[in-house]
Amino acid sequence: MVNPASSFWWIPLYPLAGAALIAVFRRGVSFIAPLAVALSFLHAATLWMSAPPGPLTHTLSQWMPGLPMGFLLDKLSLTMVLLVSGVGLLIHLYSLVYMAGEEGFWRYFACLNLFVFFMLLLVLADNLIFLFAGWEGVGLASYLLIGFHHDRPTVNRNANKAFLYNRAGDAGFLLGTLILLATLGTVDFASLNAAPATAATLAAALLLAFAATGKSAQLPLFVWLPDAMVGPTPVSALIHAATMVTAGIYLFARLGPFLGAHPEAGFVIAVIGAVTSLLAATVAVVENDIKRILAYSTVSQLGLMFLAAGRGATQAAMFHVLTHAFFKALLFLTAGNVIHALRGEQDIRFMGGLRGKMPWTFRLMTLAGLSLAGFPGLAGFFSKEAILHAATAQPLLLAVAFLVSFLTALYTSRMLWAVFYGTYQRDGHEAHGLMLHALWPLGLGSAVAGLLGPSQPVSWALLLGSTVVSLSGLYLGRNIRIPGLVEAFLKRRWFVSEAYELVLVEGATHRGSRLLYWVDRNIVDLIPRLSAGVASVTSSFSAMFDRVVVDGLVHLVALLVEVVSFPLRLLETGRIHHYALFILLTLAFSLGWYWLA
Amino acid sequence: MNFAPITTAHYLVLSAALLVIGVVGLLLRRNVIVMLMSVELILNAVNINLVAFSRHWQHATGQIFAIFVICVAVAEAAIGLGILIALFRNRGTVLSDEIDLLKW
Repeated sequence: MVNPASSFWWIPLYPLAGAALIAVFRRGVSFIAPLAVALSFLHAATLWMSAPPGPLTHTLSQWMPGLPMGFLLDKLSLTMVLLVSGVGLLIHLYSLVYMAGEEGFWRYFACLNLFVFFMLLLVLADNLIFLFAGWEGVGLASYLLIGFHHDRPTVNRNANKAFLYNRAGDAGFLLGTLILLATLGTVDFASLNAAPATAATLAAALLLAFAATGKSAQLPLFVWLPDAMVGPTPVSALIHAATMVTAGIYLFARLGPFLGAHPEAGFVIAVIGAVTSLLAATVAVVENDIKRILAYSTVSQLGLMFLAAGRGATQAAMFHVLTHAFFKALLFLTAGNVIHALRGEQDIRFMGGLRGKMPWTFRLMTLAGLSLAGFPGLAGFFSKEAILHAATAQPLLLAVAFLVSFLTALYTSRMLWAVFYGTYQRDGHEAHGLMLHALWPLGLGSAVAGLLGPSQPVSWALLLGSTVVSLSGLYLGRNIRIPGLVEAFLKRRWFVSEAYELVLVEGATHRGSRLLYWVDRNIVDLIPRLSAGVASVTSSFSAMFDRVVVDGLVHLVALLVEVVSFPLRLLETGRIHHYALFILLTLAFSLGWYWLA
Repeated sequence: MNFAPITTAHYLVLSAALLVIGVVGLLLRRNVIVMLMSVELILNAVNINLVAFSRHWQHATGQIFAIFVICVAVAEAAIGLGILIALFRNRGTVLSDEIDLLKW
């Protein structure tokens, strides 16, 4: 028996092997995928039970000089591993039923396993470069899974959009990492967290924060996440709610002391989180597509996590990551049940009255929704309280956090009422088998995960405030009426996409290309023009030599020939009589000479 | 009638006379047809010369050579007249001093 502690770095390898096996054998082997993730989960759970004394490290090999392929397992990464493999396992099981009969069933599971591999790699890496490998990999798997239904309209476009927005963030990641590598000479987390703050490391911290806004769907790069909802619903639950989008917060938590040394970067992160959170929450209030409501909710909650992480409360942020993974995955999967029952209908205006037809889905979704809304006693209540606690020192941030909490309760309540109450419109049926049973652990987590939170002083004012906000939001959400103008504005999602269209496509592509054209004409062209000038001057010398000396010789020869030939040419008159006379004279002269001599 | 026998010298005088007539005609006349005729006179002067010496030396080579000269003269006349017709069609003249492009 292999020691589970020393072989902890095998954890990501099970899903990798699963993905490879499925990719090779394709049909009929998709059951390997949940088994592989289950192995990862069991391995991690064994380590959790045995409570290792300290952080475990393992260096697989030297990737590049000074850049080891190093694994690190401490409390933070073990939590993330358990979360990823646990929620991942449930979603794999759920998908077995949800995706049954789909074209490309095996492809789905190969990609899903690949995603779990990269995500586990991301959370187990012990340096930025190795983490970046997982960071890129989850982006790839996300792209593949968003584009799973590649034969449907807009799916490829949205998959490309997600990929490109992520790439923009990844560029920041790479730049930040390279700056750190150039200035500090090392990128492993232990050294970074101990490094002194300089201007260069501040730039790197800001670039890494920018990278996190790409992966975790924050301003300025959040617009891809709502569009990523064209992927299968379990994918939205796993990648775009529970795990991948929390990678940015994981990065902040991993680099906690490093960020703590740069309060400016923390301030930027907190402000980004607050603004994104508020913006996304307002959009979620008017959205009608159930998956897009949840997507904007995710963006909003991630914004709250950014806020906490930026304030230095990475423990609170990770706590919210944990509880959010439970209730948001559950919300997505129950929404998947509803969509499945209504044969693909996603618009909540065409739902209603499903409470009686889908009693268990109703109960689980309500539980998850209440947890999201911060209903007292449920998991979300505690993690949100931790975030509010982190914001207390800044009244403005605290106000935003309270407002977001209120809006969260408002749109959750609106969605639940619209789906399960009101008039019964479409025929629905309760989900069965794994599509229901895989949800129980998530429901349990949504209810009691609050117990896992970090111990901190309890502020009764905050608890009371958030309770009031949550309950009033839940109450008002039932019959919410939004003024038409405001609704129209929010429906356009604050014109963020339009602004990007204007600034990036119009500005960068058109104006930018004109600027580049100018640069090309006036600056870049100087180089060829200069070399052309040099070539012109030197070649004019050699041209002069050619003309005067070489051509002169040729012309001299020609002139000599012309001078000599001039009198002879006069003899050639063209008249045949003259020629005949010359012949006669020549003959006579020759004969005369012969005779006389 | 009593005639002096015709000797080789007579033939040579005749030949020389024909040659001089031919050469003078060739040099003085402008009409290309007449010039060709003059050339024929020159050639025939040569033929008479050849045949005369053939008789004089009792040797057949001169006669054979004369026949060759006749052959060549025929060919020369045929080609010369052909060229002349083409020339007339193109230039509208057979006067040699107007046809003076054969230079440089």
